[in-house]
Amino acid sequence: MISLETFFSIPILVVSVAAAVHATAYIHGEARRHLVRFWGFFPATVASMLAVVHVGGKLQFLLAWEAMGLASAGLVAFESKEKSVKKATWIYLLACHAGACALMLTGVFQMRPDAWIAAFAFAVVGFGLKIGFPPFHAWLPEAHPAAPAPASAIMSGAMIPLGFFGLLKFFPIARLSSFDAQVYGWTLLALGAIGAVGGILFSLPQSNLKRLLAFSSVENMGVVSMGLGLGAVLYARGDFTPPALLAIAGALVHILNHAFLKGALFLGAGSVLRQTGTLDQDRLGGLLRRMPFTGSLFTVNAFALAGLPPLNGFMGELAIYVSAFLAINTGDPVLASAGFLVALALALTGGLAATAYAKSIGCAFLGESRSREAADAAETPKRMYFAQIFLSLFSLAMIPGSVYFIHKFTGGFKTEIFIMTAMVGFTFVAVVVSLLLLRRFICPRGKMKPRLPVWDCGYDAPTSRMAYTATAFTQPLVDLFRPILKSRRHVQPFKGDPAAPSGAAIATETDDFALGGLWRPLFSRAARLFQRVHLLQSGSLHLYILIILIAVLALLVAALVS
Amino acid sequence: MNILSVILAALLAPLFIGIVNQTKAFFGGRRGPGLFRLYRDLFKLVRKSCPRPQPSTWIFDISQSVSLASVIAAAAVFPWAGFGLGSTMVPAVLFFYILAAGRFFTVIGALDAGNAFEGMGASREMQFSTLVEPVVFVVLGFLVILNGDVSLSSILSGVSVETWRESIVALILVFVAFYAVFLLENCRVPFDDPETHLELTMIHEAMLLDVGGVDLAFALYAAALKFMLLAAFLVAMFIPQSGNAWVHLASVFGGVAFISLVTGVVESVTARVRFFKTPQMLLGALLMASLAVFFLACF
Repeated sequence: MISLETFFSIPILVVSVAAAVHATAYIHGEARRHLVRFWGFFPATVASMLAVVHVGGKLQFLLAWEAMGLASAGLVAFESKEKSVKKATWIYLLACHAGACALMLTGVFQMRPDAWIAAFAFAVVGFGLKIGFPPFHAWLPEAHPAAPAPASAIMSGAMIPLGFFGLLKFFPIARLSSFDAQVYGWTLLALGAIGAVGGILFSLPQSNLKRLLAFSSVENMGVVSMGLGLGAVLYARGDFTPPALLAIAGALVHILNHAFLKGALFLGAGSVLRQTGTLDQDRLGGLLRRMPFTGSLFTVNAFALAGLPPLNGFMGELAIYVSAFLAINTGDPVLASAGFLVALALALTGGLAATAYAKSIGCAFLGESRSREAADAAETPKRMYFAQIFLSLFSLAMIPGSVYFIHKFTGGFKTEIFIMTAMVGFTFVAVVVSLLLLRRFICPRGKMKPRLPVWDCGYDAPTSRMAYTATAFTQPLVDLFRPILKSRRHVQPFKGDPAAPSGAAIATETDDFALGGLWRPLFSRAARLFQRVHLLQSGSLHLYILIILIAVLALLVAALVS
Repeated sequence: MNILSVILAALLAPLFIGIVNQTKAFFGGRRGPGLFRLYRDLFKLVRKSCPRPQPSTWIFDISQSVSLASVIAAAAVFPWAGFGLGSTMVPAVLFFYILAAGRFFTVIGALDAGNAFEGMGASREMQFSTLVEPVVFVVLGFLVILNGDVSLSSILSGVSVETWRESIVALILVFVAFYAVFLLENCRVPFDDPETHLELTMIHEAMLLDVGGVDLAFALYAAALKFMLLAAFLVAMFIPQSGNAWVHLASVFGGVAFISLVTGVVESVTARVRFFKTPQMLLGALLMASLAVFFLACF
């Protein structure tokens, strides 16, 4: 079996190659003036990610980790003229430094064997800030839309899973005691379940395509975390090693699948932005006709990432599902409740993810063009969609690849299920092809009618303004989960003559719960608190010397007393 | 035997829709369209040309074929005669996810037409199918506890008379919960009305407004097949395993005919609920299924 280091290098290398090719065309026009900045930070980011994976020792790891944060912050800040980008960079830097700080504390506590819980808690915070555990995910939906698409692709596909690399490297499940493994497992499981369901729930109402994808990364990392957590919980019991390995294998496979799929989706979103100038799904539409390659690739990848068979996104989830059902079947109440929690969270996540991706495909790429920009869009330069094809080939290879990986990782436990799943998927595709041939035979091209206007209750000239919008598509579910999502509606009522009303508008906006509800109040309160300490920073040298003197004396006394 | 039973199922599927409609006609005091109406409709539609809406792309063209293929693939692995084509190795999760994959294509095909009604139908379809998913998986968890394995044929290996006697309450709760799933997935009253003529109140039918000819035949046939498939799932969950494949096959189809009859009666005597009530009903079904798991585990 390959080592942890090699495993986590795969997404870094693959996604960064595709992202680099895409970036050569993505940065165009005015932005080319800052080309040097991009090509400075991009290799630095990739190199530091590889360093994180390959260096030995805690200090080196910390330095590489910090370098990775700084280099990628340079990428996020690429279009730093815009105010939103500045804000996003700031939030991202804060998250990186807070994470590094927590990791330093982890290192300190790891020196004492009896402080395992504290070390683990700080590791969850530190690595969780990179992975996007709730509520530490707040930087993801800010930084991903702000960063250039190739940077988002490597950050979402390859960088955030490195948090799991850190967790697995410094807290290997196999070396935990039974109690520690329980704590470890339930923490990851609970955070994963909240992250998966919460992440995809918040991605639903987003009209910005990249913001939707960013929240979907929170969801997918939640799925991975649930797999690892379930594995640890099962492992802690001792007797259930094969199902535990199955859950962990599912989580690891999902990391790879997510990397290739999400990388391709972010690149696709970047192509859309380059050709239309907008990412607002309510202003796109009909792009599949204008950009057939980009659109088809986005559709296939989004279908796969919705976790639907026969494509690769389903494989990892299936392994976690099977493991969850095996946990239910053990009869042990603790394991059974863990299994039910995972199965329920995965089921809800699957449904919501399908809705979110149906929306992004349907509203951005299908139907009528909703704006002039979308109607005038043209296909991208070839190398942009070649980059996506490159990643999609890896995704395709991951269908048998997932089966093989799970087989190797679990030592052949329930392999027949996964082989059968791949075969059923193949049958499914074969049936699709034969039905399409049948359809063509029954209804040859000559018998096809010319395209007709759609049915709009007899109205013969429907326009794009009558089409269902992305916001409307998700409105029922968003309304249902209103207590959590807290979407805000800006309604501008009809004005003027009721016979010829004009100027009515409605807009909805869903802000991140963690950022607005937790971090912003927390930080503003902290700022107010530190205002008082501000007295000390008077600028008077005498005061500073006094403080140093007191500190040295206190240390001396402390040393003498102990 | 396996392939034979799948072909038999494929041939019989439209008949059960006929049973539902004939029952409804009986309750409405009409003569009804006859048991074989859907067969005739399908033959008629196949001969017609395929209209396609103006803004549509290849997604619209393939959507109905993919949707039908998903149901066929699910039917192919279903253990009609107590064991299907390798269904001892098919995880039950896959069965429902394949159906979801087909639904995904129906939905994006509907969005491809670029019209408000189809968007509305697609939106509602996704909403309800999202909410129904947790119910399905709690029921699957129940079946796993009951039968001890995750493969499709073992969770559908039925309930012995002994188990019926011991945990009848839990079984009835699960039956009701899954019957709600069955009605919703097949777009029947009280969740959706296949006979409504108002675009604003449609769910499944709204997504097919611009589908015609052979595509509509595919869509109608897929709906009939899915109806039969989920009814068979419901039946196979509960009938005792006889050991004889032919007896099992006959009892599954008999059970499906009975479920069709019941569905016809339910549709005749209940009205459709408001859309806003549907999530509450699904929550009720989820609670029933969870309660069943609790009863099974603790009593």
